[in-house]
Amino acid sequence: MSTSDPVVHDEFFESLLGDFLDESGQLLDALNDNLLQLDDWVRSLGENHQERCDDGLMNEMFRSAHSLKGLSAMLGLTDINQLTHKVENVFDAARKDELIITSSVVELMFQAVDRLVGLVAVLKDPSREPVECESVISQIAALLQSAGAERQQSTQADAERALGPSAPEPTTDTTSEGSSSTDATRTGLESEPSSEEVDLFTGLYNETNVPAKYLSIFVDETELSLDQLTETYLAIEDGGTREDLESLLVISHRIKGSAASVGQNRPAKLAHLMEDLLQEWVEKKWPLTPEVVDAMLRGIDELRQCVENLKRGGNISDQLGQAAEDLLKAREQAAAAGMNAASPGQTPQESGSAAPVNAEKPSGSVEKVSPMPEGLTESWRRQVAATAPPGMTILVGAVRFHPNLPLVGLKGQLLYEKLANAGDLCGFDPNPETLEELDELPGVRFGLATEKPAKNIAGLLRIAGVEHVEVEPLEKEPVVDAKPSAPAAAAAVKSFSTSQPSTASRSETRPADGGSKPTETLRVDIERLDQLMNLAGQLVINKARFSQIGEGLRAALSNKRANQAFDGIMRALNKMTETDRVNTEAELRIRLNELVSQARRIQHDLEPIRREVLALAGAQAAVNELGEAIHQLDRVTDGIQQSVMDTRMVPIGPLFTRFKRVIRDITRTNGKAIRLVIRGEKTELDKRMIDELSDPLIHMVRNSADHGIELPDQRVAASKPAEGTVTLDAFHRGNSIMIQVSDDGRGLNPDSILRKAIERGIVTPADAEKITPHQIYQLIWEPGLSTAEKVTEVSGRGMGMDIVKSKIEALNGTVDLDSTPGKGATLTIKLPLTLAILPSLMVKIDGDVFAMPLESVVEIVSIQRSEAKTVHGQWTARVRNRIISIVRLDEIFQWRQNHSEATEGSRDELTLVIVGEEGHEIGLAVDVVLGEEDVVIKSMAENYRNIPGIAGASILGNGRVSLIIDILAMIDMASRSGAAAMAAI
Amino acid sequence: MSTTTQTSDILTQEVRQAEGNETMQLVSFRLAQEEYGVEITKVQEIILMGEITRVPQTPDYIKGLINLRSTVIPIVDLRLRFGLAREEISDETRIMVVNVAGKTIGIIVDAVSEVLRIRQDQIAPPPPTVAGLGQEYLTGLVRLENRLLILLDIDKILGQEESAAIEAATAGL
Repeated sequence: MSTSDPVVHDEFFESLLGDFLDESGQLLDALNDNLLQLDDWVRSLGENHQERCDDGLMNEMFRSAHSLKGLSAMLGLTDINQLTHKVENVFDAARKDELIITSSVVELMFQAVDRLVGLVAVLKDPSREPVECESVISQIAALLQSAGAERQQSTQADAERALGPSAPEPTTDTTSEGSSSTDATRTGLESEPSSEEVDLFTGLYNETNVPAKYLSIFVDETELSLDQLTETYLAIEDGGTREDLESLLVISHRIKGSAASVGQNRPAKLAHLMEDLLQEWVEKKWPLTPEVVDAMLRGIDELRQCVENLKRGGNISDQLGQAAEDLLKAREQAAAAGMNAASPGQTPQESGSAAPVNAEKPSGSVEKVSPMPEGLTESWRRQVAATAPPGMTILVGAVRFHPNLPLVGLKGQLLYEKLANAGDLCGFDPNPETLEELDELPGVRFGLATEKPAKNIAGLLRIAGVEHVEVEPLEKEPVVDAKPSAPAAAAAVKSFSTSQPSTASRSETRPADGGSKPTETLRVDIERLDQLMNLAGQLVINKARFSQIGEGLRAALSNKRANQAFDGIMRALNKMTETDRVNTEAELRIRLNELVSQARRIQHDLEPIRREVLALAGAQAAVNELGEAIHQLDRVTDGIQQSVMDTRMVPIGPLFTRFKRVIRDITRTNGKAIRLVIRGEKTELDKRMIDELSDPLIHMVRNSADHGIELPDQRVAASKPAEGTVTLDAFHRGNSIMIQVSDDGRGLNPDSILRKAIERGIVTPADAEKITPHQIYQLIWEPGLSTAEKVTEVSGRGMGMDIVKSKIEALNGTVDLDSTPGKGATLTIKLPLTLAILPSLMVKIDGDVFAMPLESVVEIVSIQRSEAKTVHGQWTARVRNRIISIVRLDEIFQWRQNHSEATEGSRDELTLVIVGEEGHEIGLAVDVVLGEEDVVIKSMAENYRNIPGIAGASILGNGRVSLIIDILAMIDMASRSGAAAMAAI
Repeated sequence: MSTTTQTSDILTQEVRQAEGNETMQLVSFRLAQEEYGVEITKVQEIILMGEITRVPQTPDYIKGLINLRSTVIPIVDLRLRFGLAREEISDETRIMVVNVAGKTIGIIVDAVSEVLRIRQDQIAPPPPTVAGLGQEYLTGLVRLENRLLILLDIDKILGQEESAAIEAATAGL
């Protein structure tokens, strides 16, 4: 029955992967940041210290690693899982004083984090080189070994189980020992003292970086569960039925499970204790005394307090220990009152303890079935057969998960959904509604009425984390089960020791195998979405208004009757004006009568016309309303544009923070002392820009740190502080975002750049004569021009500055470099606020409409043609005491002249749009300025190619394409062709 | 692509459902009194001439850009591309929107004639010299009842010249 289909990658998995990439990025950033702090701390102590490092920091790092471990395990990402597991162990050992953090440990951790970053990058882009992490794993293992702290188990959940006085549910101990798939064996921890009472909570921390969405689910559900608990306790204070006790058990277990699954380990612990005690009561049939109920209620109150705190976002109150103490006291009393006081450690730990609860309610309310399905037992077959619709093929099946699979409840949920889609479910164990809360679930079982063959269903169920799948048709006459109906755990061991080796199935779960890139995700503040929703609502109202106005206009303008009436009037008038000769008085009278009757007809016909003219007045009102509606539409579209842009905006801070690490590595390798100053980390940028900026920025920062900053003694000699500073800054300016990387190092040497540029033939010696220092600096963006005297390990490799430039330009940005020799250099990236929309000035040049970025426009002036003078053949104009060279587009683009001659000659005035930056301004001659417009940038490279001097295309209101002028490139081209005479003016 | 020269039945415009993979569909168009065919799978749509925005620093045959339902596509004047004489736009002039090498471009043709189905064995290799047409755009000649169709390799329309132009343009910076 168990087929060996490969693990199915489904959409659900893909979406989880997207979440994982998002989440892991943040966790790794946090880890890196903390490591840097740790590094500082370690270095401040020097080698061979025996200090214990800051607990808070250690815990934070432990939690980051732990979260990452859990997430990766859920997705079956074995490599990441193993590595994070090791990393987690190191932090765990350190906080338990089993390991001293030295600089080599930090170094190793940095390496591990780098590997993790690499592994995540491979997930994003499967075409990348695979990352080798075995060496780091073995190094960490060696480190832990030498520290005597080698431990395989350190997850909170495991710790909780091991530390707890007893585990009422059948743990997967036997299975994990029997299976090679778990790297976890419980050695060393079993011997931990189990008699501690109040100290139960030491070493247990709630995870703080649990996503709010999970927390809110936890809060909702736990509140409900606590209410149920309180109610039931109050009801049974005078001794309740066995069923009441069981429902208490189930609820307590549920609370424990959901708390642990969202990292609320302390409340989980308390719930666990409550569950254990209850179990004992049920076992020993002790009476529930008011004291015990009091203690339980007190525990419930504490749990409620925790939930409240969570809701308010505050810290967990620490009365939990007190509550636990009370509970244990109550137990002692009860034990004393009872017969043989058994220590909690001796409570039966075998599956038998929970199984009876289960077995006694085989087909009762599913609600109360403990989440421990036992595989394909005979009773399950019978249960399915009882609920199955007649006349259908029924499949029964059982799925077994890997032991200790994190978020197993979610997996169960997924299986449930898959099955529900595949046919009619006639039985699913455990109850699907409680699935999501479970943190321990060895497997699920089900009955399914479906047309599909068992093999297909089995394939469907083989998702990441599933160890074994059994699906077989249900015989209507139940046959004798071939399997031994031994305890579930034993059967499980058997079934998956014979199933395919789990390592094989694991390697198949690597999403990289799919070859497809996971979808990118973006976290968006719900407020921003609400705003967008609100705007969408306004748009709908606006649409309704438009159709209403349209109706009104149609009604007002349907003047069919007026046309008829007009025809009638015209006919009557024609008759009236017929010039028949009238001879006799009788004839005259007849004529007169005729005239009168025609006049009456006209009168009659005029009435509908009058009415329709009145209706036209109504149309006028509708037109006014239309104007208003258009105005409204205008506002709504602006709002939507803004809001959609906002949803894409994320702060640049995390990107900047990554550079602390870059700087640290550089200082390590080149012996420089460098301080990284970060400013403007709250500045928001388009998410895609942030992603694209990472590589260019790394290159720029490396350049600054490696080539810019001098060695400490050189700096001191230059009477600068020994410690160099690299500053990262981000800020808004106008409609742009500026990102600056500056250093206070030696700056660039313009002479050597120029010399190299001439050597490489980038600049002709003739051009070199009149080049300005600023222009020289811009030469470093040319391919093949490296100013570094020596290529170092850090910045000599990787992309050149020309690639940095092209990357920035791909974002419609510009990059500029300025330097003062001896004082430092500043690289400035200027980016548009968004990638898509550009506020522009629309102009007409030689009959064509062009857009130019508004941010580049300095001013618009009108000069007399006579004011333009040539200087060395270059037309210039004097504008407010500045000499501005006049540039004509057709000259720059060497465009064939079509029709401009006539228009040029007839005009005495010249309109100049002055563009560019201070000191690099030019006046672009235009026919006419049309006004401002926000244009949507369309790429020309998408279907054609990029054209120098043209930043892109946009579509005008009339559907025509207009080109967007690339101002900087144009200034560049103008200065190159500067010597060429502009004779046309 | 098969280049067998064996003589074949003359195929009428009535399409014969030939066996399997042997047939292909062409869109035929007219350009300077000659008839050309382009594989139908390459043709996205055929539109009327509209306003074309000229673009600087491009070869002559790049007439400019148009807005095709919010996408900006370049327009190639096939007459100029093939070095033929310029012609005034007529009522029959069309823009054939084709997909080549992942890009969408429009080509101006004198008139679009019909869609027809041919068999591979109707395609003859191009003769060594074809007047007024560079070899590189040509995949073969298709014999029809009483006329000859020039089979065009539309992928080469933007051509090496244009790639060279791209290089030249970037090098000029």
